[in-house]
Amino acid sequence: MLLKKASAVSVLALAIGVSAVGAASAATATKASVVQVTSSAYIVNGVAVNINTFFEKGRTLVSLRDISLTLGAKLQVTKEEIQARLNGHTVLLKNDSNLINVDGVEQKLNLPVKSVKGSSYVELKAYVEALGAQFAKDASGTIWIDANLLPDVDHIQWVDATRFIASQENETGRSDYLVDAQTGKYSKLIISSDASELAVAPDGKKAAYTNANGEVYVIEFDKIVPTKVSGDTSIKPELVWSADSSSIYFLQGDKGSVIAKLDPSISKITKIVDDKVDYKANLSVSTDGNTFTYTVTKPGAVVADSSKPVESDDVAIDMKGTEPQIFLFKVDPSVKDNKAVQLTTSADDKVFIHASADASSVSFVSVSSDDAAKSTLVSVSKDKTLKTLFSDKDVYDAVLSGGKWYLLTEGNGANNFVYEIDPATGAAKQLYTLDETVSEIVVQAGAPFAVINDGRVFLDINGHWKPTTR
Amino acid sequence: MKLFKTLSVAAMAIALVTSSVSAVSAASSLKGTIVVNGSSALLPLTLQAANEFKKLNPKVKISASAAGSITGPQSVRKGIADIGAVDWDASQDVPGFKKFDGQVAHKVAVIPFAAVANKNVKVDNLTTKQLQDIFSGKVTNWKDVGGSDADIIVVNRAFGSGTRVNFQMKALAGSDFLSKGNNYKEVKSSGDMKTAVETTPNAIGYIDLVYVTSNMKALQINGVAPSETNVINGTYKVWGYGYYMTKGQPDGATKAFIEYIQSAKFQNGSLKKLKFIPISAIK
Repeated sequence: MLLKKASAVSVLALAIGVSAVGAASAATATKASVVQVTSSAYIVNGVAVNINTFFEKGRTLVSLRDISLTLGAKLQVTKEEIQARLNGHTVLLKNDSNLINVDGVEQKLNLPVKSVKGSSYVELKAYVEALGAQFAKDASGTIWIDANLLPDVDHIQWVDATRFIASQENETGRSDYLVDAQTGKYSKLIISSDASELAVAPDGKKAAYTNANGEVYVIEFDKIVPTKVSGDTSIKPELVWSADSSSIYFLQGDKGSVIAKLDPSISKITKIVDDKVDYKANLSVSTDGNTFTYTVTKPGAVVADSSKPVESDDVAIDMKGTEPQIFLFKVDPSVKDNKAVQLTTSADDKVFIHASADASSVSFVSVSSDDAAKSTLVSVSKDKTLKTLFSDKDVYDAVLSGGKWYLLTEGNGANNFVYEIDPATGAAKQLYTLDETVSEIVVQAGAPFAVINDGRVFLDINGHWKPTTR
Repeated sequence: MKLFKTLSVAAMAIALVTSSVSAVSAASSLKGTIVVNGSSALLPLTLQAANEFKKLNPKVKISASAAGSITGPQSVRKGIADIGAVDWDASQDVPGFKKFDGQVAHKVAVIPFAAVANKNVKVDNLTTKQLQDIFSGKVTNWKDVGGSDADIIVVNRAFGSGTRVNFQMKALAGSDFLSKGNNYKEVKSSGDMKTAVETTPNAIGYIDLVYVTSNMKALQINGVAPSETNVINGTYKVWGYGYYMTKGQPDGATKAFIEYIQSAKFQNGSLKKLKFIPISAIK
């Protein structure tokens, strides 16, 4: 069974042309007195290792010393027992006994700890989990063992090609951690009761956020101490960094009416657009800092006669024209009364809105009011020309990264597909077939492809889905 | 570069191993249209939540409008809105309005209100009794409450305003407003109130705390300053919950949207960003 799995992995690795680490592949075999010990492959704390292993009654037993030390556990061996400690957990074991003591509580293994040529072997999964570490086997059979993955992550965003910010939400606020994608090791970034979502700068070195007073803070990842860069207390619904990571653009006011720019080095705020148009959102700024694209949502029109009795319910609502529309504003001091240009007028809903780096076009997922219609990826250029980029499958999630679109779409029945779309040519390439429980994709050029599945983050590491949070 | 190395392959089929069969599938399975109408104070909150919710549930369309709190539960009763946004619990009787039978109130935010005066007013603090006397017209000169000798200009919100209902219940302990006179002014929105108090010497009015500006004076009530801290610590009493009213218990997309706006993520994030107080902050 095991060899069959290992063979399947090898085939997959060859097929996708990457050097996948085979799961539990039999490398060398040593003849033991009663069992055959093999050196098998695992991925422990993000690193491929070989650990002496044998199989008995359908279960995997591994060298207790090898797995403990690889995981980072501390071992203390006496004549009577073996003590292993990891991340505050203590496990006591005895050779030839299937009873182990985990943090003071006795538990039973399926098979006793076995001594082979002077080395103790223990059931892999039960021992790893007794130490509080995570054990996972992916569909290809690769076994991932991690001493300490971050639990209960709600969402992530990439910082650079190797690190992401993982956020946990709870009743009192949010905790943000910097996570190493390869090893899963994490460190605290911010624990705050009122920090807005972090806006990561394009240089990958810092992020900005506002507190409940509206003040703006910047946290540099290598310093971990936030700096207040503006004491202005106006409401700032969205923060967006300039392409060179030197300035922060933001929407201002509870209705997001104003577009402003903050120079964090001197705490100076400059208004850029103050056209009294409310409910701007999805702000994007061109690389040269001169063109701004955003959506405007118009509230519905209500007619209500307050002179009539309340019981008459003399209210009428007209929601026509309340769909978000895309606008473009180009800074041009030579134009008198310079105004934003409305690029779209369509009655579809627009989500996952991103502008190209030069703001020459804005792409979005168009959602029809007809529930049965597929959601499609559409682009509108600055001259208001609409172009459908992808309409083959119903689109669930869409991310723009490195100039390409990545779409999570319906699949064939109980799965989802991921497509890569080149907006220049419209070429669509299917990249993955995923379980239908995958709810989100998180993409950054150069970084491993990330998916959120059932509340856990998985990364595509050399063709295998590595669980990176638990 | 790993990503592009991997993606150079035409198609890669890897199934994820899922450990739970109870997992909710991609949020996109939710469909439908949600119409929200009512309180203008809650409209920015609704539209912010809608913007975020649609990224999780792109097949759900949310349209919102505002024309005063009372139009929220009216619209729900009439069947033209799924959610009525209102600054009081409309499933209960309040001063001026009978309860809306069959509607369920869902708390979505805590909204503090402040008594505000024009910057030329010398008074910093008023008791409940003094506020009752001023807003009922019994006291008409600032000198009678410790200020200068000047007529008090009372600015009131029009009937149907949720801010008015809350101010009457919490700051005036239910006592009545005057409704006419040379020194009485009625305005239709928070924006009009802000303008009236900022620009009318000797004016007094009331407004959501979030709309208090440096061009007006927020008054202490019974010696307690209006602030988020004082609301949370229980010393400042003039606040109310913002509610979403539904016809019976909600289901489908409407239920999911209400749960989203009540979620820890939204309450501690965007709701605080918009200067509301999370419902969990009140013990």
